[in-house]
Amino acid sequence: MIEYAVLFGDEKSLVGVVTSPAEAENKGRYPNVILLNAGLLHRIGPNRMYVKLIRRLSGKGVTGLRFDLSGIGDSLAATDGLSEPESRLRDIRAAMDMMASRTGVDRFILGGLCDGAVSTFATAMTDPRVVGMILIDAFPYRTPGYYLRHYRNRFFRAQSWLNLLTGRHPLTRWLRGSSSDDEDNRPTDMFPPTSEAEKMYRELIDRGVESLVIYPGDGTFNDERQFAEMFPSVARHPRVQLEFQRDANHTYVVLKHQEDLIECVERWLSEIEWPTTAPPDHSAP
Amino acid sequence: MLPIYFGDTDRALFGIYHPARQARVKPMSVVLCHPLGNEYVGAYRTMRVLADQLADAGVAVLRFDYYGTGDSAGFGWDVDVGQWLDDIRSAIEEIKGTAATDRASLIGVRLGATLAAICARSRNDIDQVVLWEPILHGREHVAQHQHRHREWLRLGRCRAADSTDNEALGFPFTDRLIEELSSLDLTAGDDERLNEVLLLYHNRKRQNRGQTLAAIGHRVEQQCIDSPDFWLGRTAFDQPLVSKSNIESIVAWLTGDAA
Repeated sequence: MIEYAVLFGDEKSLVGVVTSPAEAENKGRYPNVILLNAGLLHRIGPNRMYVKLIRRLSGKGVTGLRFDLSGIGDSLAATDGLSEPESRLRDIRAAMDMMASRTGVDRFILGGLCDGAVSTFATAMTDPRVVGMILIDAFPYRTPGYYLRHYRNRFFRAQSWLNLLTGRHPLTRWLRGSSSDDEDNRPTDMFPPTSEAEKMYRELIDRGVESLVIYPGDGTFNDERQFAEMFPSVARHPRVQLEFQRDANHTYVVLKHQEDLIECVERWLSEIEWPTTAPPDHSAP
Repeated sequence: MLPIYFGDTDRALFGIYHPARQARVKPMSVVLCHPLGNEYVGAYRTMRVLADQLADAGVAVLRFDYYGTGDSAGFGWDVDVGQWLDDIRSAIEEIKGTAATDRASLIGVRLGATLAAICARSRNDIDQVVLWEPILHGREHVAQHQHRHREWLRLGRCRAADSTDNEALGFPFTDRLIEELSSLDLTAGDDERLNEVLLLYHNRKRQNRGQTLAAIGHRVEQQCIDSPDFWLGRTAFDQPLVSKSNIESIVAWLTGDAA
């Protein structure tokens, strides 16, 4: 394994680390992998998980990049006045351009946790070079099934009943229909409404993009069935592999859970016959 | 700002080099020594801002990741304190060579401060040392990390049974590392005094405990700064949790310039 630091982007303001396999075996077999910042954590990822993941994938012949988006970690803040989503897209495209130039491989698997997963999804929608996605805890929408499972254990707690009767309980609002199932089940505003996310998944599937969708067990995803509840038209598609890691938390604090995630990504990567070239049209709409 | 790998190829260390952005009569260079484990994550932004301010003041800076941490080689299961002290030595040689200075200064935060002090004691080319909330007794520091991990597990956000005694909030703590850290005692008598030392504390109680370090250098200054424990990273990671004026006063102490 060989690692080297890079400065790239139009203004050479983006800091990253490229990890290349030591041997040429499997060269060209896999797309390049780029991992995107989880929230405001710098490029090593939550609890250094990105470093470990990319180094393990290099053992399979994958070349990977972890880098900091503008204004995060060691990368300088952008000065061109773009909105944050536009700036992220610009940075990620710059990363792909740089990696394609260095490796000769112009197809990519993007991945990340939380914000990193959202950035992955947004970039995949607009750039046909993205042929795979690793989405860790992305779009965990609360469904009726989520609530039933979540509150099942709270059935005998007095406070839960009090909240229900006084209308403070989210389930009360849902039963009254005073909130849109589509809008208000979003954990945060950074996620699009469920129906829009499902439509985006379908577009990507139709384009041939492979997705590994991983959910840890804390937070707003509490059962494997929830994915089908959220996205019934895509959940069972062969190009979407779901992995529910019930025992893990959002940032994978426990080392065994990190190892479970890494092994899951390794398996997924190995099981897919990846395209050897990117789709012909590289121009973004 | 330049990201680099330096040191031996088989245990390459990652660093960010901040070249001095103005000339000084006497060139200066500084190595920043990070804290350990999840404290490293919480402190990262503040360390970067400090490095930027130093560079603006004409000081060349290298902040780096110890072996087995951050972007440096190694996975954390094969680390030891002796290696980390060697890493600081490598960083000192690197910054001296890159910035063309004969001497260097060190700034360490938490365990980074402890290691910086230990390293500086064995060298004759270190001018100033900033010990920012130094760990006095390694055993207590290990206990703090383990306590925070147990407290986190008690919240029930994951399956606690999958955790072991050899980890703390996402970072490995091998038996060897625990033993070596536990043997660190910055208060133990040492005939080698550092040159100039700035001791920084975030509350009076810890400053009082730190009185045992009053003789750690030939000239020792102590400051208590009004700032949260930024290494715990309990708020945003995108901004330093230490005020601009506090950082400026550290820069001023190092450079001798007015704050």
